[in-house]
Amino acid sequence: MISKKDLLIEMNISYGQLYRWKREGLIPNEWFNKQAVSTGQETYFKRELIIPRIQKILELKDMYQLDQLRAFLNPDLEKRPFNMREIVLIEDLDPFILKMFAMRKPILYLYDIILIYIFSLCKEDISFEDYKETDFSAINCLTYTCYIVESDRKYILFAKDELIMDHHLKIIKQIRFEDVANMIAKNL
Amino acid sequence: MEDIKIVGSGSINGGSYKNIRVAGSAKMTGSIQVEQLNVAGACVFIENADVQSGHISGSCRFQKNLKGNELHCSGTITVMGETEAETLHLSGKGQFSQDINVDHLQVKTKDSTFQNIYGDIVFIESKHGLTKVRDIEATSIEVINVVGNRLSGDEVIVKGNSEFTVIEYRKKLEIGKTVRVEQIIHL
Repeated sequence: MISKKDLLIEMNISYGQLYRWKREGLIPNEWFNKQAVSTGQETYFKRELIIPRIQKILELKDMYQLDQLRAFLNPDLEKRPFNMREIVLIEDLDPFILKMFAMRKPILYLYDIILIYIFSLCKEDISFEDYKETDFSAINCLTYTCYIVESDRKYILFAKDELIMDHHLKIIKQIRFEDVANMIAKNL
Repeated sequence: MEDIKIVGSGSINGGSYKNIRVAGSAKMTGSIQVEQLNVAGACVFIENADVQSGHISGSCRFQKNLKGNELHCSGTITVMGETEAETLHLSGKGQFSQDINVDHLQVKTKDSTFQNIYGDIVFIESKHGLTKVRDIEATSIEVINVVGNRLSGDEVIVKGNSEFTVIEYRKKLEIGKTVRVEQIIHL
């Protein structure tokens, strides 16, 4: 956890900026945890959430308008269904893989789109045909990274944390879910 | 989006409106979104209100949350829920039962009550008597005749008969001779 005061110093931002971003929906209300201290109340944040979020806001705030930035960082992106009109606007999705996904799942969510994107991007290495019966429902957070590894043939791996692999395996592609989600949000 | 004008008394269901003008008394029974609100009289909002630009010269009571862009009140404003605004100017009396998150708050009042105020620039001057707050956290704070628990900001100016338990500042602190503070912390 990090206190609000330490956060302001560490990120070199002001109260005004922090509360403006909260008001604008760039930082969720639930991230502000009030706790009793000797001087009354102090607000604490989960460090692993707030620091990357503020870094992202500072990096993007001059490049995008508020609505775009909000969509970019929108935490609800993970919960809402995507309609086909939105999906076709996302660049680099292979229509064949999209069709196969859509045939087995009538409603597609963010993680489905991320998988479609990854299989589209890696179609030279991995055939989605080999995975069309695989249940990907356990893959449900943005901390995942997809690895395409090679030994006698190429495999696809999904891992949440750092991956320790046999040295015979060679990573030939590495795709962070968060990067794909950001790209998708930008296309919406 | 339609315009609504109430002269006398009336009530408005929830919905989105371009202009709402009240000269008399009005009750908003559902959630309201309005671009321009003008109240000269009395108005009660039963549900949440989203007001792009509001001018209140009578009295307004918001039973739930108030969200706005630019709000000017020269009468009495009561907000039972949370308040969010870019700019809030109050030159009358305010009763805020929950937190305020505002970019620019300017208050010149006789007797008002606030809970926590969070924002960028906060100026509160109590002309007669003392205005009560709990905590204020803002980039720049100036308070005159205000009583509360804690002020925390980059630049803090406290004048008049203000009283605070704790003042935290990062860059600048000015405290008047008649101000009472228990603890000062340089962040």
